[in-house]
Amino acid sequence: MDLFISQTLNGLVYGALLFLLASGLSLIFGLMGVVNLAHGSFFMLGAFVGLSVAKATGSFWLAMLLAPLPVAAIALAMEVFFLRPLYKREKLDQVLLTFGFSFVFTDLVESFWGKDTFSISEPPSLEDSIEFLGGFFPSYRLAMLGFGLLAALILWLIIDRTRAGAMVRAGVDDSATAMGIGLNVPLLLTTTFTCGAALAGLAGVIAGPILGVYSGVDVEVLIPAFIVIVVGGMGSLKGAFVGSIVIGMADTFGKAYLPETAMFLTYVAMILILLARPGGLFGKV
Amino acid sequence: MTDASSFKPSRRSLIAGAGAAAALTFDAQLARVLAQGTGPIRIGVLNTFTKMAALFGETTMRGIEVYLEEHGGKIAGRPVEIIKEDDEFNPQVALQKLRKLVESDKVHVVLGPLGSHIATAMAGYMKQMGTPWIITGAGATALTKERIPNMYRATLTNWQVANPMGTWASANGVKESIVIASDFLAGHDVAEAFKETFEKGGGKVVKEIFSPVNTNDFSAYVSDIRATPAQAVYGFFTGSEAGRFVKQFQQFGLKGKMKLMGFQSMLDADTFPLQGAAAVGGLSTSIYCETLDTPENKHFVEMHAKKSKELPGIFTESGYTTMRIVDDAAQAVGGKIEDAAAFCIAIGKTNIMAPRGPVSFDPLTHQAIQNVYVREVVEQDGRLVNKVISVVPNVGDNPLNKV
Repeated sequence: MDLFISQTLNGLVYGALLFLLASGLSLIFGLMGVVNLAHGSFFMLGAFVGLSVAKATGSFWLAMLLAPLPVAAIALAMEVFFLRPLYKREKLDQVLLTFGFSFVFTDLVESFWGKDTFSISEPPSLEDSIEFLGGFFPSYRLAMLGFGLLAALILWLIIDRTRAGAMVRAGVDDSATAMGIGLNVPLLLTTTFTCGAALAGLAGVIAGPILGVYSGVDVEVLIPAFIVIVVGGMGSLKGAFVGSIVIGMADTFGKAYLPETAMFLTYVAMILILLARPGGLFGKV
Repeated sequence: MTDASSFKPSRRSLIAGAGAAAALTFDAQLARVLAQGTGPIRIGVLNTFTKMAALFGETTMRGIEVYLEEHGGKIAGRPVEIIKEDDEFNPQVALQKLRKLVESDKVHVVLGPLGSHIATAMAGYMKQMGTPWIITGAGATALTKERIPNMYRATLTNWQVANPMGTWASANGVKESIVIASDFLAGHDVAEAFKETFEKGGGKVVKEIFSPVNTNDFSAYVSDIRATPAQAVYGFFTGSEAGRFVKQFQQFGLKGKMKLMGFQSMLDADTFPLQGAAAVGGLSTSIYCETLDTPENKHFVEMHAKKSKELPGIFTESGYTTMRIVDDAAQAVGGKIEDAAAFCIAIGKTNIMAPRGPVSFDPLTHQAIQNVYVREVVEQDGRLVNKVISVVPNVGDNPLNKV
């Protein structure tokens, strides 16, 4: 396989993973106007719960199915009991709260699972590599890419084509007006927050075979996810999608062709896009 | 995070012991020395117990504990108090904790650290204070160039381990190789040491890749490696990075196509759970191998089995052997570890058969002289282990450190 094609695929796979994380983060930001610094923790929690389920049952698919549930439950409790009382306060207070929660989750994970690095094995049916265009590509990674695209499609259908989606969009555009015309914005918030967390938890399981499962993975995935939503425009699903691809590509091609400056390149991409469009590619300015 | 371990004597037994010693002798001078020599030996362990390198701090500590339990919590007949401090892999934190250990806990010897950047930060202070110091983890080659009189390194140097792999590879049919390493001090140190002997032996490094520390996704690099004609890859990664790299090496179909070679930390007991079958057939060099067929190692593995289901890795062995060195040196000075100068000289005279093989110190640089093993990962009784395929006996310090 041509090196360029395989690197493009690598970039898309990384982008798909980023999208699973960034979509929830972006919608939550759009609704609450608050950056959820505990979003990476949901990813990490999902990964660890998935690890335990996979170990206990031997099934990756079951881990994928079950892991998002407790994560969603935790997120629900966090939103209802801790974040909601702070909505009337300044944004900074809410951000600090989510920041505090990220420490709590890290300590929780360390006390339950320890500080070791674990790995979830991919399902046996996806263990091999697929040979095409005269080259190899791991089938699990192709499945990840497919899954990311599927998730994007489903999210787009929900947000763009359903009544619930229209309510979310209205809330993102102007939550005060939305409330004024009778939309239950707090309920909308709780739902979005919980679903976003579940999606992050799911991403944690899916990333498990590739990134590994360890305390600290939360920060490592949260930072690129932030770059994605800044590039794509905060609160925009389309922005999260395009941003994920842009950052996934910048990172992969940077690593391949300019390995020493790879980390720097994703930031260059961000700076260039922000210079041209300060609100991000699809954001409100 | 201070952990005064369970090897503390009760105050009463201490006073009783000192009293008895004083009563038995009429020589006041001797009584004073004995009283001084019967309190607990305080050992400061400064290592990384949190963050990405936590695993290594904990396995080092396990080795120390195995030794103490085997010897009833005593060294040279004196009880031992371990004072454990976490450096958080951060030189600034490390220096604060080090000051506490040396100035307020008044430890008799400092064991650690893991990170070379931390050892470098410690060097000036330790030289000034003169407290005996044995390095259990930091492998930066240049550390022993400093020649700090009270510093000994009881573990590997990057040069010591990476150099023999280059020799072995060039002598065993590898013509062209790629070097990929984590982009920090140790990675560059190791890459250079491998390249030195590999190219001297007629091999050629066709590409050098330095990936950012804590890279999650190696797909771009392994795709790149695929596109070159090299027959082998030499890698330097530790912990979770080693797990991910070796796994992705297999996922991208490189296994079987190329020889996988690496630094000891890349294919070690610590990383096997992350790598699984992807590690099988991988070659690495190390100063230790868990399946070494010597009475010393068998005994150690047996002792270790009481504390852990896993086989011991290099850091556990390092903790264990370092305690043996402290014990022997303390015995050589009659238990009077307080006499730092004499104790340091005694450490320098170490000549033991450790689980890893013979260990002594270079009189000039204070680097441990030890065997280096070329190892291959095999599956044995349902688990992955390293097997020795070649031994390079008594490898010392980098000659450049001696000029």
